[in-house]
Amino acid sequence: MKRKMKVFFNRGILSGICFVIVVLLIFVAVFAPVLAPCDPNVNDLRNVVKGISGEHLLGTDYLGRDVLSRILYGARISLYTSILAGALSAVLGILLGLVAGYFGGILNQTIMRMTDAILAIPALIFTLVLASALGGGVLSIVISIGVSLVPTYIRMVNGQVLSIKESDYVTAGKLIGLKNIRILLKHLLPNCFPSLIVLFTMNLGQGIMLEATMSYLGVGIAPPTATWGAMVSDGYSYLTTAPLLSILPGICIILVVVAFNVVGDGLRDALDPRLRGKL
Amino acid sequence: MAEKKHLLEVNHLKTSFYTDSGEVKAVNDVSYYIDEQEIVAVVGESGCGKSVTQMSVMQLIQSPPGKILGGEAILEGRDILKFRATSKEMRAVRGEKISMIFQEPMTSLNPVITVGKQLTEVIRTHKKVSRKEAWQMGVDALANVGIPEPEARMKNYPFEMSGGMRQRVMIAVAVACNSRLIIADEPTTALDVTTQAQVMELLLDVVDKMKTSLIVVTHNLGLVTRYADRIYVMYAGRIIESGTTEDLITKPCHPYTIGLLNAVPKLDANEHEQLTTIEGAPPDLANLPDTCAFLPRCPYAAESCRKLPCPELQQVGEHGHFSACHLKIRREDT
Amino acid sequence: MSEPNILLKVENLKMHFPAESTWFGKPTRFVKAVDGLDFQIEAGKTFGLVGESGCGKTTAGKCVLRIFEPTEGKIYYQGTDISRLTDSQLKPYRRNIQLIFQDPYGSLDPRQSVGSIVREAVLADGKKRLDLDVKARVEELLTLVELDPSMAGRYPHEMSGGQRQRLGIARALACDPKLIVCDEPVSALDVSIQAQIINLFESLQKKLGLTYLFIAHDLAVVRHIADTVAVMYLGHIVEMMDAGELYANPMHPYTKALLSAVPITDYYTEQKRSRIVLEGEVPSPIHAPSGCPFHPRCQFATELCKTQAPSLKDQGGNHLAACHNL
Repeated sequence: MKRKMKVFFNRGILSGICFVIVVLLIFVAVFAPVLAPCDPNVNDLRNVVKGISGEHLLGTDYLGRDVLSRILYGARISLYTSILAGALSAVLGILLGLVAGYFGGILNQTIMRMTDAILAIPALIFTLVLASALGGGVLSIVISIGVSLVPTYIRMVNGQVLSIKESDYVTAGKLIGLKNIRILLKHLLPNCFPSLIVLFTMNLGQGIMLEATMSYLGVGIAPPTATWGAMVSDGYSYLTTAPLLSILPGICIILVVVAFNVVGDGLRDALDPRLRGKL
Repeated sequence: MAEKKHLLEVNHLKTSFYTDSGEVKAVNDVSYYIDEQEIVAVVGESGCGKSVTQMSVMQLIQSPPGKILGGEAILEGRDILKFRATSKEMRAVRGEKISMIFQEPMTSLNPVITVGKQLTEVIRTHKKVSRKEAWQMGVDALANVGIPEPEARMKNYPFEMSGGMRQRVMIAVAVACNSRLIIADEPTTALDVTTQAQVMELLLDVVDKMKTSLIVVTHNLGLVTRYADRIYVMYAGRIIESGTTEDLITKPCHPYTIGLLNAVPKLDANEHEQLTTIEGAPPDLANLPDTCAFLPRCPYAAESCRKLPCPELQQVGEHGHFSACHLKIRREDT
Repeated sequence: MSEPNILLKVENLKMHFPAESTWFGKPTRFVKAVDGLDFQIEAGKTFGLVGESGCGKTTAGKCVLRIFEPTEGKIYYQGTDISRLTDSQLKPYRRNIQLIFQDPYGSLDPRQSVGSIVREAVLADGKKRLDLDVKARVEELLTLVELDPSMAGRYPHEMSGGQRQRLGIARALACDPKLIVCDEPVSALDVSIQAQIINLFESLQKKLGLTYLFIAHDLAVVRHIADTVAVMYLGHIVEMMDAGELYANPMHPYTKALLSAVPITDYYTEQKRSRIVLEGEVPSPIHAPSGCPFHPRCQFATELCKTQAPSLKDQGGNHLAACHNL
């Protein structure tokens, strides 16, 4: 564990900063009710689109709601949807990719052609259609984002499995009499990890982006629930007078997406025994 | 006989790589020479610095992490290590004066350009000739290295050729450039024995006809016994024994050379006879001891070896037979 | 005369891979990688299979291991034909035949520690064992291949080439195999390490009574370790003899050429030896020549060689060769 941490933090200051951002995001999401100075959904129509003040640290939006509180609560939704969607897509994608790659044949053809079909539709449109078909609500957003991300996992796992299953150590595993399930879980899956971790963290970022985009387009989580995407969308009309309304949640989205990607790269290196040995 | 002038003389060459685990002394004070029309072999196991030595002379070391720390390489009276790696003079040396042939010819040929285009390009970089003339020279060069139907072959892509054929193309490049010296780095390791014999015979022929010299870098002792005039044996970044092929193979003096020769399975030995091995593994070049680098594996090691610093090359026989060992060892000739 | 104890017997083994096919996936041309092999290996002995790349020696090994299902022919392991068995029927035989790979690093899962690689192989038969017994067995196996049991916590990338090959051998031995197919097991190793591994193979054979199918391109190595040697060319065995005969009395022109192409480290002999440099290259197995597969490169080829393939004939003293001109 100590060596893993060492590899992670040896990657430089950026890794450290991004790690802090991710930790902060989780902390904020968990403790939003405690940290937030106001209720994020309470309207105060006397204080509409106010700038930074002592009472409202980051100002208020067009309904007079506290921007800081909404960002804090928005972190919750972002993290919640992206992690759930990410987990859903990872589990489905890895499972299907492993099975398709390892067993090949008709199974492989069926799964891969379906994957191609989904990939042929732009992710955003696919998510939008699926979300509206499933009706509103957080769960439908999670499912639609999750399903739209599945093909990337299948593609990646399938490709990796196809090359790894030809490797000598898998042949050796078969020859010593290992069961297929053990070869799949113990040899193929761990050796897909490096790319999977990168993909998973990238997809967390992608999930946050998709959720934000959907909220921005108004098909996401229903108002008045605070989400970063909806905040960017709502603040859009006031871009010239109160640019912070859109920019602040926008910066949050960017920071978190970048942080997830960098942390993913670090995790990949930390979990690789070949790199651990070098230190 | 009058003192012959050396074609290439390398003195006190030092090359290191700076890595996370410290300074790796890949080439550690190496001196050697090659005369006109001579075939010299540099022998050693992987990681002994035999290839890095050649790459250093050609200034083809990746920097960083590699760095040539010192030494000189005199080619026709000029120190080519003084040239900047990217200078015009150095580029003229590579190809025109010295050609290099690598283990895997596929990687030194561009896979998406025809052999003919690549050949003419090299010829035109070094010689002021028209495209047509260069093409003809390329065809001649291919014919010279025994490639059937050279005109048709010029239009082939590298992947359409076999390994042996590609290696011939690399030799053709050297032939077309009239190189004075060919450095072949494990030229036949990736090839089958019969192809290996073809390629080596071809190189021999080229040395003979084109009056070039040849440095063969290899780990194959049989190959050097058959083809080389002189041999340098390298271990852990140093030359530990040198001499004519006859002296070195029949009267090896360094325990490592003796061990290597004993470790090769013989075609005419008794079956199932225990092979004499060299115990252990080569040392870590980042943590070399102050004493003889071979000491931990040496079956002859004496108490005195542990106290003395790393031994220098000393003359042990005629015709320039040198060995870097504190002990005076002779293998009993059979 | 008592029947020798034959562990493996291969009869008319053929392995053809589809090379070109019609639009409907029906193959029209085949790569005849292995085209009719017959040989047998006595228990406790080493059978050497030599030849250049593409001669089909590795494919033959993979058929014996049943990584491939052969197109034709029979493979008798201890009298049972295993050539057509399904995966589940193969189960009782799987662990009896093991493989040592050419590239020791590629044959080890980079994410598995040394101890775990051997432990997995010990446990893969599914029998219940005490943890203590497993640990003792792993240590015993590592010691057997002359690795320090304290290395169990290390990873393959932290080992030298020789150590990795020892680990590969330990994993194979964990299955208590009778037959080990060694596919170029020393060709990726340095000379000084190569000798160590060859000696290890020999001492293990003595200790455990192993039988080896030793596949290599290096004649000197095969000659050293094998009892019987078969020389392959384009999917056929062209000559088969006791190892001693290989150097002393080669008969087939291809064997002679191969031998003369191998440079040796005896200076005075080397200076005197005649060299036969073969013209051209091994033809592609898709367009295998008619008649004797070697005839386009053979300096003694006659009209008969071009039309009729010679069969392996006994030339006396257990020495078989397939050539019309003997």
